Amino acid sequence: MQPIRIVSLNRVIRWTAAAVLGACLAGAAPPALAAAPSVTVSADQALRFGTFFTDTSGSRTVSATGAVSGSAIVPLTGTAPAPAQFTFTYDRGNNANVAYSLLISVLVPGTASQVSGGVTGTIARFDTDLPGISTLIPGQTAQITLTGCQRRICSRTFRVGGTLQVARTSGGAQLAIPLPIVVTVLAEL
Amino acid sequence: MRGRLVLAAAALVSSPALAATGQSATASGQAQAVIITPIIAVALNDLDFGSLTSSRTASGTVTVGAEGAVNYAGGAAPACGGACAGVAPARFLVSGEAGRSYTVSAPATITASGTLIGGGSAPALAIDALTVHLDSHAGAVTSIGQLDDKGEDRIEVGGRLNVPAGTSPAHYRATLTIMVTYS
Repeated sequence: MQPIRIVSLNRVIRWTAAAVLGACLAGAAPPALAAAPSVTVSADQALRFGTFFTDTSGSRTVSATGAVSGSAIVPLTGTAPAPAQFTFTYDRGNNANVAYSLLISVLVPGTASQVSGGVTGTIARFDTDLPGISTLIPGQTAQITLTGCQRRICSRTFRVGGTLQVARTSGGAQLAIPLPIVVTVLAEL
Repeated sequence: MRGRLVLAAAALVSSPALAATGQSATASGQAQAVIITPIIAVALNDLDFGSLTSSRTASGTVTVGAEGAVNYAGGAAPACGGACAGVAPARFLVSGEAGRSYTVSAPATITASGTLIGGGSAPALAIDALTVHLDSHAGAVTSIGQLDDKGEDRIEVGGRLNVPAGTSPAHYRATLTIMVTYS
Protein backbone atom coordinates (compact mmCIF):
# COMPACT_ATOMS: atom_id res chain seq x y z
CA MET A 1 0.00 0.00 0.00
CA GLN A 2 1.37 3.30 -1.09
CA PRO A 3 1.85 5.92 1.55
CA ILE A 4 -0.32 8.94 1.15
CA ARG A 5 1.57 12.23 0.78
CA ILE A 6 -0.07 15.12 2.44
CA VAL A 7 0.69 18.47 0.99
CA SER A 8 -0.01 21.64 2.81
CA LEU A 9 -2.55 24.06 1.39
CA ASN A 10 0.05 26.81 1.37
CA ARG A 11 2.31 24.84 -1.00
CA VAL A 12 -0.55 23.99 -3.32
CA ILE A 13 -1.36 27.64 -3.66
CA ARG A 14 2.31 28.44 -4.32
CA TRP A 15 2.62 25.83 -7.04
CA THR A 16 -0.59 26.99 -8.64
CA ALA A 17 0.54 30.59 -8.70
CA ALA A 18 3.88 29.64 -10.19
CA ALA A 19 2.22 27.53 -12.85
CA VAL A 20 -0.16 30.28 -13.80
CA LEU A 21 2.65 32.83 -13.99
CA GLY A 22 4.77 30.49 -16.08
CA ALA A 23 1.92 29.87 -18.47
CA CYS A 24 1.31 33.60 -18.83
CA LEU A 25 4.94 34.34 -19.53
CA ALA A 26 5.28 31.47 -21.98
CA GLY A 27 2.49 32.90 -24.06
CA ALA A 28 3.72 36.48 -23.84
CA ALA A 29 5.66 38.50 -26.40
CA PRO A 30 9.32 37.74 -27.31
CA PRO A 31 10.79 40.31 -24.89
CA ALA A 32 10.60 37.61 -22.29
CA LEU A 33 13.38 35.81 -24.21
CA ALA A 34 16.01 38.47 -23.59
CA ALA A 35 19.64 37.81 -24.37
CA ALA A 36 22.62 39.72 -23.09
CA PRO A 37 23.16 42.95 -25.05
CA SER A 38 26.26 42.97 -27.19
CA VAL A 39 28.42 45.42 -29.12
CA THR A 40 30.51 44.78 -32.20
CA VAL A 41 32.54 46.97 -34.52
CA SER A 42 33.82 45.86 -37.89
CA ALA A 43 36.46 47.45 -40.09
CA ASP A 44 34.95 47.51 -43.56
CA GLN A 45 37.51 49.52 -45.46
CA ALA A 46 41.02 50.85 -44.85
CA LEU A 47 41.88 54.52 -44.77
CA ARG A 48 43.73 54.93 -48.05
CA PHE A 49 46.02 57.89 -48.61
CA GLY A 50 46.95 56.75 -52.10
CA THR A 51 50.28 57.07 -53.83
CA PHE A 52 52.48 60.14 -53.75
CA PHE A 53 56.00 61.30 -53.23
CA THR A 54 57.54 63.98 -51.14
CA ASP A 55 61.02 65.39 -51.06
CA THR A 56 61.70 65.51 -47.33
CA SER A 57 58.34 66.01 -45.68
CA GLY A 58 54.74 66.56 -46.60
CA SER A 59 51.22 65.63 -45.68
CA ARG A 60 48.08 64.35 -47.27
CA THR A 61 44.59 64.65 -45.89
CA VAL A 62 41.72 62.38 -46.76
CA SER A 63 38.59 63.57 -45.03
CA ALA A 64 35.73 61.44 -43.80
CA THR A 65 33.71 62.74 -46.73
CA GLY A 66 36.41 61.73 -49.20
CA ALA A 67 37.89 65.15 -49.91
CA VAL A 68 41.63 64.94 -50.64
CA SER A 69 44.25 67.63 -50.19
CA GLY A 70 47.98 67.71 -49.74
CA SER A 71 50.94 69.83 -48.80
CA ALA A 72 54.47 69.44 -50.23
CA ILE A 73 53.59 66.21 -51.98
CA VAL A 74 53.11 65.15 -55.56
CA PRO A 75 50.15 62.80 -56.08
CA LEU A 76 50.77 59.90 -58.42
CA THR A 77 48.66 57.28 -60.07
CA GLY A 78 47.83 54.33 -57.88
CA THR A 79 45.23 53.33 -55.35
CA ALA A 80 42.55 55.97 -55.05
CA PRO A 81 42.43 57.77 -51.67
CA ALA A 82 39.39 56.99 -49.55
CA PRO A 83 38.34 57.24 -45.91
CA ALA A 84 38.19 54.22 -43.65
CA GLN A 85 34.79 52.73 -42.98
CA PHE A 86 33.60 51.03 -39.82
CA THR A 87 30.27 49.59 -38.80
CA PHE A 88 29.07 49.70 -35.21
CA THR A 89 26.36 47.24 -34.25
CA TYR A 90 24.45 47.12 -30.99
CA ASP A 91 22.23 44.17 -30.19
CA ARG A 92 20.05 45.12 -27.28
CA GLY A 93 19.19 41.51 -26.73
CA ASN A 94 15.42 41.64 -27.07
CA ASN A 95 12.77 42.45 -29.61
CA ALA A 96 10.99 45.19 -27.71
CA ASN A 97 9.71 47.74 -30.17
CA VAL A 98 10.82 50.74 -28.20
CA ALA A 99 12.70 53.73 -29.52
CA TYR A 100 16.01 54.29 -27.82
CA SER A 101 19.27 56.13 -28.16
CA LEU A 102 22.80 55.08 -27.37
CA LEU A 103 25.48 57.12 -25.73
CA ILE A 104 28.76 55.77 -27.01
CA SER A 105 32.39 56.74 -26.88
CA VAL A 106 34.82 56.36 -29.74
CA LEU A 107 38.55 56.02 -29.18
CA VAL A 108 41.60 55.64 -31.35
CA PRO A 109 44.08 54.32 -28.81
CA GLY A 110 47.74 55.23 -28.99
CA THR A 111 49.63 56.93 -31.77
CA ALA A 112 49.05 55.88 -35.33
CA SER A 113 52.48 55.85 -36.86
CA GLN A 114 54.96 53.67 -38.67
CA VAL A 115 58.62 53.85 -39.59
CA SER A 116 59.61 52.04 -42.75
CA GLY A 117 63.20 52.51 -43.87
CA GLY A 118 63.76 56.20 -44.39
CA VAL A 119 60.08 57.04 -44.27
CA THR A 120 58.05 57.90 -41.19
CA GLY A 121 54.30 58.21 -41.40
CA THR A 122 52.20 59.62 -38.57
CA ILE A 123 48.50 60.31 -38.33
CA ALA A 124 48.07 62.89 -35.62
CA ARG A 125 44.35 63.45 -35.97
CA PHE A 126 41.34 61.89 -37.53
CA ASP A 127 37.91 63.09 -38.45
CA THR A 128 34.65 61.22 -38.76
CA ASP A 129 31.23 61.69 -40.25
CA LEU A 130 29.61 60.67 -36.97
CA PRO A 131 27.37 63.58 -36.04
CA GLY A 132 28.98 65.67 -33.37
CA ILE A 133 32.47 64.21 -33.71
CA SER A 134 34.45 66.23 -36.18
CA THR A 135 37.86 65.37 -34.77
CA LEU A 136 39.33 62.25 -33.23
CA ILE A 137 42.65 62.66 -31.49
CA PRO A 138 44.53 59.44 -30.69
CA GLY A 139 44.26 58.63 -27.01
CA GLN A 140 41.26 60.84 -26.43
CA THR A 141 37.71 59.56 -26.30
CA ALA A 142 34.89 61.31 -28.06
CA GLN A 143 31.27 60.83 -27.02
CA ILE A 144 28.28 60.75 -29.25
CA THR A 145 24.60 59.94 -28.91
CA LEU A 146 23.19 57.71 -31.59
CA THR A 147 19.52 58.43 -31.93
CA GLY A 148 16.79 56.72 -33.82
CA CYS A 149 17.40 53.17 -32.67
CA GLN A 150 14.16 51.20 -32.71
CA ARG A 151 14.74 47.56 -33.36
CA ARG A 152 16.75 44.98 -31.55
CA ILE A 153 19.78 45.65 -33.76
CA CYS A 154 20.96 49.23 -34.01
CA SER A 155 23.72 49.62 -36.57
CA ARG A 156 25.64 52.63 -37.85
CA THR A 157 28.26 52.80 -40.55
CA PHE A 158 30.70 55.65 -40.24
CA ARG A 159 33.78 56.84 -42.03
CA VAL A 160 37.09 57.99 -40.64
CA GLY A 161 39.50 60.28 -42.42
CA GLY A 162 42.82 61.67 -41.32
CA THR A 163 45.96 63.58 -42.10
CA LEU A 164 49.11 61.58 -42.78
CA GLN A 165 52.33 63.41 -42.06
CA VAL A 166 55.28 61.96 -43.90
CA ALA A 167 58.94 62.60 -43.15
CA ARG A 168 61.38 61.11 -45.62
CA THR A 169 65.13 60.83 -45.42
CA SER A 170 65.60 58.23 -48.13
CA GLY A 171 63.75 55.92 -50.46
CA GLY A 172 60.09 55.15 -50.47
CA ALA A 173 57.79 52.93 -48.46
CA GLN A 174 54.49 51.16 -48.38
CA LEU A 175 52.89 52.17 -45.13
CA ALA A 176 50.29 50.03 -43.40
CA ILE A 177 49.51 51.74 -40.13
CA PRO A 178 47.25 49.91 -37.68
CA LEU A 179 44.09 51.87 -37.02
CA PRO A 180 42.18 50.31 -34.14
CA ILE A 181 38.85 51.83 -33.20
CA VAL A 182 37.33 51.17 -29.79
CA VAL A 183 33.64 51.85 -29.32
CA THR A 184 32.11 51.67 -25.86
CA VAL A 185 28.43 51.82 -25.03
CA LEU A 186 28.10 54.21 -22.12
CA ALA A 187 24.35 54.13 -21.77
CA GLU A 188 21.13 53.15 -23.44
CA LEU A 189 18.85 56.14 -23.27
CA MET B 1 5.39 34.07 -0.81
CA ARG B 2 3.10 36.15 -2.95
CA GLY B 3 5.55 38.96 -2.71
CA ARG B 4 8.36 36.72 -3.93
CA LEU B 5 6.32 35.60 -6.93
CA VAL B 6 5.49 39.15 -7.88
CA LEU B 7 9.16 40.09 -7.75
CA ALA B 8 10.08 37.14 -9.93
CA ALA B 9 7.50 38.13 -12.51
CA ALA B 10 8.68 41.72 -12.50
CA ALA B 11 12.26 40.62 -13.05
CA LEU B 12 11.32 38.54 -16.07
CA VAL B 13 9.18 41.18 -17.67
CA SER B 14 11.67 43.97 -17.18
CA SER B 15 14.66 42.09 -18.63
CA PRO B 16 14.52 43.99 -21.99
CA ALA B 17 15.78 47.04 -20.17
CA LEU B 18 19.20 45.46 -19.73
CA ALA B 19 21.82 47.56 -21.48
CA ALA B 20 25.35 46.81 -22.59
CA THR B 21 26.65 49.72 -20.58
CA GLY B 22 30.39 49.63 -20.42
CA GLN B 23 30.71 47.04 -23.13
CA SER B 24 33.40 47.79 -25.65
CA ALA B 25 34.26 46.46 -29.05
CA THR B 26 37.39 46.99 -31.08
CA ALA B 27 37.87 46.90 -34.81
CA SER B 28 41.34 46.62 -36.28
CA GLY B 29 41.37 49.01 -39.17
CA GLN B 30 44.34 50.13 -41.19
CA ALA B 31 45.68 53.25 -42.85
CA GLN B 32 47.59 52.70 -46.05
CA ALA B 33 49.85 54.87 -48.15
CA VAL B 34 52.49 54.36 -50.79
CA ILE B 35 55.34 56.83 -50.62
CA ILE B 36 57.32 56.84 -53.82
CA THR B 37 61.04 57.40 -54.05
CA PRO B 38 61.53 60.78 -55.70
CA ILE B 39 62.75 60.67 -59.26
CA ILE B 40 66.05 62.34 -60.03
CA ALA B 41 68.28 62.76 -63.05
CA VAL B 42 72.04 63.00 -62.61
CA ALA B 43 74.28 64.23 -65.42
CA LEU B 44 76.87 61.63 -66.40
CA ASN B 45 78.53 63.57 -69.17
CA ASP B 46 78.05 66.69 -71.27
CA LEU B 47 76.81 67.14 -74.79
CA ASP B 48 80.20 67.62 -76.41
CA PHE B 49 80.62 68.86 -80.00
CA GLY B 50 84.39 68.52 -79.80
CA SER B 51 86.88 70.77 -81.55
CA LEU B 52 86.01 72.01 -84.98
CA THR B 53 86.93 74.51 -87.61
CA SER B 54 84.65 76.87 -89.39
CA SER B 55 84.81 78.26 -92.88
CA ARG B 56 85.33 81.95 -93.39
CA THR B 57 82.73 81.95 -96.11
CA ALA B 58 80.24 79.17 -95.41
CA SER B 59 78.12 78.44 -92.41
CA GLY B 60 78.06 74.92 -91.13
CA THR B 61 76.64 72.60 -88.53
CA VAL B 62 77.79 69.82 -86.29
CA THR B 63 75.14 67.34 -85.32
CA VAL B 64 75.61 64.87 -82.47
CA GLY B 65 72.84 62.32 -82.46
CA ALA B 66 71.30 61.15 -79.23
CA GLU B 67 72.65 57.71 -80.05
CA GLY B 68 76.16 59.01 -80.69
CA ALA B 69 76.40 59.53 -84.45
CA VAL B 70 78.31 62.69 -85.48
CA ASN B 71 77.76 64.60 -88.67
CA TYR B 72 79.52 67.73 -89.98
CA ALA B 73 77.90 69.82 -92.66
CA GLY B 74 78.63 73.00 -94.60
CA GLY B 75 81.57 75.03 -93.43
CA ALA B 76 82.04 73.09 -90.20
CA ALA B 77 84.68 70.37 -90.03
CA PRO B 78 86.39 68.40 -87.29
CA ALA B 79 89.62 69.93 -86.12
CA CYS B 80 91.24 66.55 -85.65
CA GLY B 81 90.61 64.58 -88.80
CA GLY B 82 87.63 62.24 -89.16
CA ALA B 83 86.08 62.94 -85.78
CA CYS B 84 87.46 64.26 -82.57
CA ALA B 85 87.59 62.12 -79.48
CA GLY B 86 85.16 63.07 -76.79
CA VAL B 87 82.36 64.04 -79.12
CA ALA B 88 79.28 62.61 -77.46
CA PRO B 89 75.68 63.23 -76.56
CA ALA B 90 74.75 64.33 -73.07
CA ARG B 91 73.97 61.42 -70.78
CA PHE B 92 71.82 61.36 -67.68
CA LEU B 93 71.04 58.64 -65.18
CA VAL B 94 67.45 58.63 -64.00
CA SER B 95 66.66 57.01 -60.64
CA GLY B 96 63.34 56.47 -58.94
CA GLU B 97 60.66 53.89 -58.18
CA ALA B 98 61.15 50.63 -60.04
CA GLY B 99 58.63 50.05 -62.77
CA ARG B 100 57.18 53.55 -62.76
CA SER B 101 56.84 55.48 -65.97
CA TYR B 102 58.09 59.01 -66.23
CA THR B 103 58.21 61.91 -68.61
CA VAL B 104 61.29 63.83 -69.60
CA SER B 105 61.17 67.32 -70.96
CA ALA B 106 64.04 69.14 -72.58
CA PRO B 107 64.30 72.46 -74.37
CA ALA B 108 64.17 72.54 -78.15
CA THR B 109 67.03 75.00 -78.38
CA ILE B 110 69.74 76.39 -76.16
CA THR B 111 72.38 79.02 -76.65
CA ALA B 112 76.09 78.58 -76.15
CA SER B 113 78.07 81.54 -74.96
CA GLY B 114 81.70 81.77 -76.00
CA THR B 115 84.96 83.08 -74.69
CA LEU B 116 87.48 84.02 -77.33
CA ILE B 117 90.83 82.26 -77.19
CA GLY B 118 92.47 85.62 -76.91
CA GLY B 119 90.05 86.77 -74.26
CA GLY B 120 86.72 88.51 -74.39
CA SER B 121 83.33 87.21 -75.30
CA ALA B 122 82.45 85.64 -78.61
CA PRO B 123 79.10 85.80 -80.38
CA ALA B 124 76.68 83.21 -79.06
CA LEU B 125 75.99 80.05 -81.04
CA ALA B 126 72.64 78.38 -81.31
CA ILE B 127 72.16 74.71 -80.55
CA ASP B 128 68.91 73.38 -81.88
CA ALA B 129 67.28 70.13 -82.95
CA LEU B 130 67.82 68.73 -79.49
CA THR B 131 66.72 65.11 -79.47
CA VAL B 132 66.10 62.94 -76.43
CA HIS B 133 66.64 59.22 -76.38
CA LEU B 134 65.56 57.00 -73.51
CA ASP B 135 67.18 53.60 -73.05
CA SER B 136 63.82 52.22 -71.96
CA HIS B 137 62.66 52.95 -75.48
CA ALA B 138 65.60 51.52 -77.35
CA GLY B 139 65.71 52.76 -80.90
CA ALA B 140 62.94 55.26 -80.41
CA VAL B 141 63.00 58.89 -79.52
CA THR B 142 60.25 59.58 -77.06
CA SER B 143 59.61 61.65 -74.01
CA ILE B 144 58.07 58.89 -71.91
CA GLY B 145 60.19 56.24 -70.29
CA GLN B 146 59.91 53.51 -67.70
CA LEU B 147 62.28 52.80 -64.86
CA ASP B 148 63.65 49.26 -64.82
CA ASP B 149 63.51 46.81 -61.95
CA LYS B 150 66.39 48.64 -60.32
CA GLY B 151 64.48 51.87 -60.63
CA GLU B 152 66.85 53.26 -63.28
CA ASP B 153 66.89 54.47 -66.83
CA ARG B 154 69.32 56.42 -68.95
CA ILE B 155 68.73 59.41 -71.14
CA GLU B 156 70.88 60.67 -73.99
CA VAL B 157 70.43 64.08 -75.54
CA GLY B 158 71.87 65.09 -78.87
CA GLY B 159 71.71 68.34 -80.80
CA ARG B 160 72.91 70.47 -83.65
CA LEU B 161 75.46 73.26 -83.25
CA ASN B 162 75.09 76.03 -85.78
CA VAL B 163 78.39 77.61 -86.77
CA PRO B 164 78.17 80.86 -88.76
CA ALA B 165 80.80 81.60 -91.38
CA GLY B 166 83.85 83.26 -89.97
CA THR B 167 83.27 82.22 -86.40
CA SER B 168 86.26 83.25 -84.33
CA PRO B 169 88.23 80.66 -82.35
CA ALA B 170 86.58 80.39 -78.94
CA HIS B 171 85.45 78.05 -76.19
CA TYR B 172 81.70 77.66 -76.07
CA ARG B 173 79.58 76.45 -73.24
CA ALA B 174 75.86 76.04 -72.77
CA THR B 175 73.65 74.78 -70.02
CA LEU B 176 71.27 71.97 -70.87
CA THR B 177 68.56 71.39 -68.30
CA ILE B 178 66.19 68.46 -68.47
CA MET B 179 63.32 67.69 -66.17
CA VAL B 180 62.00 64.27 -65.25
CA THR B 181 58.65 63.72 -63.57
CA TYR B 182 56.62 60.65 -62.83
CA SER B 183 53.82 60.15 -65.26
